[in-house]
Amino acid sequence: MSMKTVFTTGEAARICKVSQQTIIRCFDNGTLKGFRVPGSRFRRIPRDQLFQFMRDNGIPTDALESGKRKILIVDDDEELVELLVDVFEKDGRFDIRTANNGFDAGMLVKEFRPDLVVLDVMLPDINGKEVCQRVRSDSNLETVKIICISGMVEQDKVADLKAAGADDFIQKPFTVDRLLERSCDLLEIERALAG
Amino acid sequence: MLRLPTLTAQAAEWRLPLPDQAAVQLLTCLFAPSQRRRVECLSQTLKGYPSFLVWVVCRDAAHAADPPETIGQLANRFSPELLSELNWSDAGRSGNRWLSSSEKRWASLTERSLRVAELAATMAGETSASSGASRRQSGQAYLLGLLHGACDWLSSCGPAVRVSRGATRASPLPDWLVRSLQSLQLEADDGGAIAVVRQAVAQCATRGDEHAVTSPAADGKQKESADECCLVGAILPQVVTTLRRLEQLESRFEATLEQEKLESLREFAYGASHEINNPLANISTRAQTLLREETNPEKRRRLATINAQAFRAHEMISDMMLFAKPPELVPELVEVQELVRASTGELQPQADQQGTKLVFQMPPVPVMFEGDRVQLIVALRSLCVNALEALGSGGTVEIRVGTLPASAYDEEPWVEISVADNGPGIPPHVRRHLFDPFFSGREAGRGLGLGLSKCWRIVTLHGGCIDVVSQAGQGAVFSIRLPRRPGAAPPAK
Repeated sequence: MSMKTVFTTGEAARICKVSQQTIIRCFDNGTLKGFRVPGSRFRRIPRDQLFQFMRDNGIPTDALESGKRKILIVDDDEELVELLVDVFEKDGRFDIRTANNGFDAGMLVKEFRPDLVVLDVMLPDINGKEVCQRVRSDSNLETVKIICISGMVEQDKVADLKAAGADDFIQKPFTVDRLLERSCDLLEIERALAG
Repeated sequence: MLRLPTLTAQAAEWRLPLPDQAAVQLLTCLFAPSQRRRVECLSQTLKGYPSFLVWVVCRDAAHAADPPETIGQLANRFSPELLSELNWSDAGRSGNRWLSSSEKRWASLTERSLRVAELAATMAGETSASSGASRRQSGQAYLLGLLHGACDWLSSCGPAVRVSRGATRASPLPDWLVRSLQSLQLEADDGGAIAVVRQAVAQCATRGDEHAVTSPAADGKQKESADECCLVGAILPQVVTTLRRLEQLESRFEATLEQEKLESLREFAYGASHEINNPLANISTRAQTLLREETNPEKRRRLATINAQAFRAHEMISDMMLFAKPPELVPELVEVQELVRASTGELQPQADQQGTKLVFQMPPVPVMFEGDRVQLIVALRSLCVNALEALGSGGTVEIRVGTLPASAYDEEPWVEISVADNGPGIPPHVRRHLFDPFFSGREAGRGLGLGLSKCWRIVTLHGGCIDVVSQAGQGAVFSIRLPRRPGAAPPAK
């Protein structure tokens, strides 16, 4: 998505972290300027118009400026966090922050407003299920995707996590490619080329 | 005097009395040093105390259609049930109170029953030809003589009971006794024990008590021993309860032990899966990231091995967890042939690589049954992997599907899937522990890991069974047998 010049309403919604309906409404009432594709009449928003709209409405513009998707990695195992940062950095399409406990994770979710949280379920302070529930109870954070990772094996616990709002669950240990693929799928961006 | 545990029929209840002396005898019986002594002692109690005899006959429900020939036979077949039948935990509605008039009535009933029994036995002995026949005849006559007042006994401690033909009132009496008592009332000369008892009843009625009998119950007793007996009568229910608990504990010990072992394994596996999977995630992720940057083929191979080994350790932990706490079965209709193909599909490359032939013997008609497809694939695959590993290289693995004859296990024919290899076979001392996850002395290459334990667990969950036939040097045949639906009748061993 880096340096795109024109956005669809879906892309604009993700960048602004609002629903697509909101973007369409703003487009239709003229707050968000754009044009319709000749023939199909699909809505399109030029980059500078989107930037203007975001600034006018106090939406952080960093996502648009860098074109990068924001990922928050949470695990108390610092070694593993470092490795995962490496993996996502190599891909080049992500802006990454990390946390080693539930408290920091909670703060960062609000401050950093990530698109995706890679969340270890067993944190020293609060457990991952609670983090999921807190994120889901905040309507401002409804577009945040959550992938839980854990060494636990019990299937019923996995179902619990999904019920608490996790979008996906990956068992530890995992293949790095699989984690990347799942992340891309959830963010609706292309899977990275192999290698 | 104690009351015996409640007899019931439909909504009616009867609580027969148990004299204190009988309680003492029962106690002796319960603590008898051998089965033989126990039966003898029970026999003695039955002979001396008609109310107890009536109770036993009513409680001998397993043989309701099958009359005992003698008291000895009855004692023999009832003695294993004695402890469980003496269940005082249900006090019944009537409680333990009774009137002193009842006690008098019971005493005279006891006396009459014993007198008729003795007389009938003597008469039956005199009329018989051979001594063997005579003993049998008098035994039979004694039993029926003692029981002739069964209805009076029941009527004295609950709703009135009659056995006249056409009477439909509820009674706890077994069918055979009802029939005998009915013929006793008829005036037919039908010979045999019933005729003799009928005669004895008539004689006793006319002769009054000139033909006094001596019996344990009717003996002249000293005051002292009567008091002691009374004490025993009071504690008998507690003694029986304790004994029964002991017996249950003993019989449940094995199952409980197994359950506890599994439970502690589950706890352990749960903790281990968290603690070990985290470092494994580190090892494997590190190996994977290094592998991405590495171009040297030899180094790439080594890094791939590190990653694969981390995953292998992870699988061991998952297997352990699966064994200790398998997910609940999700039964669906499964075709056995498809199950076999799904289980073995992924193994073909491994088989090709080690030069092992996979041979299938499956009926052309689809064999259907209900089971958890996903879990059964895991079970079947672990059997096949085990066979491949046992062979090492070359050889043949034959997978056969069939059905067991209906009579062997269940009304519906069971499904049988067997996996045979012509490898080195399994020595007997290993075979014994083959499916036991707690056994560590496995031979290399055979039953490595938890594959077979996992298989056993899944098959057992389905209500099926698994066994192995193997002779050293002649390979092994593992057979899974499954009911048509999970948890149908357990297989008779």
